[in-house]
Amino acid sequence: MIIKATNIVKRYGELLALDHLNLELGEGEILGLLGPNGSGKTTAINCILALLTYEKGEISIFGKPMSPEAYDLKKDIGVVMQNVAVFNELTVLENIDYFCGLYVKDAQKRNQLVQEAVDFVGLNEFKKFYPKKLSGGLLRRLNVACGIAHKPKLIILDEPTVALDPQSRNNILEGIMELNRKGASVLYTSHYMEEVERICSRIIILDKGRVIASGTKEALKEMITLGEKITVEVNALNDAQLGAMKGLPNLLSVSLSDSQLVIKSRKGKNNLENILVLLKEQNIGFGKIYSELPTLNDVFLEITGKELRD
Amino acid sequence: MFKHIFKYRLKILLYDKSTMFWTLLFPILLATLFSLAFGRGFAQETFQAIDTAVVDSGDDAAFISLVKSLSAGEERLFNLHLTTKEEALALLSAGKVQGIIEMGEEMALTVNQSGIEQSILKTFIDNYAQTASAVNRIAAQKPEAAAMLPALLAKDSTFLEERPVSRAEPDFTLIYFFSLLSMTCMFGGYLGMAEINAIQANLSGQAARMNFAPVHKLKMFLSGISAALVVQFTKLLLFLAYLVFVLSIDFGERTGLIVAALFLCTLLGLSFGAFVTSLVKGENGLKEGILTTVTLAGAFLSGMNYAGIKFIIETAAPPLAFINPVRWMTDAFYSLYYFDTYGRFIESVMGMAIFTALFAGATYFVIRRRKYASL
Repeated sequence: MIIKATNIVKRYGELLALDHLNLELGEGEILGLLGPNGSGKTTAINCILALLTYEKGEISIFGKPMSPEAYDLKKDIGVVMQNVAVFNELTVLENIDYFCGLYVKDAQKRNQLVQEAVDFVGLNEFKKFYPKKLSGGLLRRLNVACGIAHKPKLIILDEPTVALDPQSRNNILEGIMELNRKGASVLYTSHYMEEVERICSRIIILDKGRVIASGTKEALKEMITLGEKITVEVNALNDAQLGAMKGLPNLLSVSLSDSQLVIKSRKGKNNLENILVLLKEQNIGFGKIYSELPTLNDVFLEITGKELRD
Repeated sequence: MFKHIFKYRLKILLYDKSTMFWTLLFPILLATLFSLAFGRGFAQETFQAIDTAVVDSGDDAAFISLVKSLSAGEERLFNLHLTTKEEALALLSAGKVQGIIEMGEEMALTVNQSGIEQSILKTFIDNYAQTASAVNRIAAQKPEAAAMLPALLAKDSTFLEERPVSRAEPDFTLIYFFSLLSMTCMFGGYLGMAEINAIQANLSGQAARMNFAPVHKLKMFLSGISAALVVQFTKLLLFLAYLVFVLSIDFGERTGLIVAALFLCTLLGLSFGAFVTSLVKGENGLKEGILTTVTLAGAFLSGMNYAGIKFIIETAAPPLAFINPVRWMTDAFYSLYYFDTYGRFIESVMGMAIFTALFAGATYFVIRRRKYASL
């Protein structure tokens, strides 16, 4: 096991930030820690990294207890923090070299690692630039390079794509998957469910410091009753027609808002066909019709009663 | 590892424009202004004889003889113009003389502006009138003593014995420069602050990143503070060189000890900055505010704005003088300049060493913590 956190309890005064958190990251996994802002993701990471004190629980990394003095463990960990943490007085290359040098003493080996990190994040043409001259996306890439240049076995990324444009976000996500393919185990936190769905092999959903669900994305979606969401653009609908909709098999809910008829159903083989038949029977004119499988947001919504981004 | 962190901390500190301004350019600017304000220019100013018109009415030959004797030689007090009243007024309005002395029953001084030369002229005629009046009174009341008057006047009797403690001339304007140098040492606190910010995970993102790395906290601190010491001490040596070689400030002959004192002052400034940063909770702005306030207040109380305040504080509020680190620094420099013995200097060095040890000890007590309750 790469990371094992057991029953972690962390309080900030009266606020319970982590409520008996259990977390395990296996070798070669990308584990996603998904939750809204303030759910305890960053606190969990800082506890795992022995930066924060906690009231209760045990944390081990690579099978050994984690502590601030566990230098033999720290040398194989790379951390990419939520906020860009680089020195404005150093160039791109110097920043990467500085942080890489905290892990790798051999200058020749370090030069090679730094160059590889520069290539990896695509900052080759900016390596003599100072951070103030970089765009937000390039800064984030530099932030990633500073965290991973020493080629750690475990990479912890805390919302590395916050406030990034789609292209930069895509670059970073591709990079993380590439690092994973090269053998790194990854703990990835985000409040963007699409990112977590895309790159993580397993997901833990956090809310108010508690694990509310965990498993693969498929397993998480299996946990909820919602199987399919079908949206139909309708011109108008009277009460009788709406009443007829409520007789559909597997139906969970039906709602009409701004000419959008939303029908949520349990898993079933003929949900879409049943709706089409009913629309014809009731002589309801319709435009577009589309079906969606449940998302992690639906999982979060069903378990907590609120949207993931609330 | 030490070398790696040291090298980069050195670059980071050297490229920090704000610190560079406060710890080098600002003191140079202030020292230059002080130098101009004290009229030092770039060398010690020499006294210039005062252009003076004396209107001779023929009543007082002794006075004319006196001003003539004071207007002769290289170190003369006056450039004398013996003339009529009309010509004297013309010279005054043309700016060719600083004042007109008119003799008569009561001596009169005419000037068209106030200044140091005019004050000297006024003091001169007041002293003359006072002495002449005393001589006349003695001659009238005790004629037998009149014969002794020239000898008595020639002898400048004093009942106090002057025992110099130094070969150096007392120069109170030096206190301004010593306190300015001390203030610059205290501004080194900004570098101490930067070093603590760079290793305390709850103070900056960069420091959090440092704490994730497999490096001992004390090693990080010692590497960083060594870089800060090199940068700040170098800047202080440059500033000292500017004071001595460009502004011609005389710091005495004990150059080696001055540099040694400067090194200790640098340590004190850095440790004070580190102490404030590690101990005070809150934003950097608050910590900078405390550093700046303590430094400027300390420099003020040590005589940077008015030299006399140093002695007022030491007399009226000794505890305040005692806890003022800038005062210990200023004292160290002044004692090296003025006293021939080392007692006062050693006392100042001990004071600085104790303060440095206290600040550094308290800083270590706080930063040795490696886990935080919150970030």
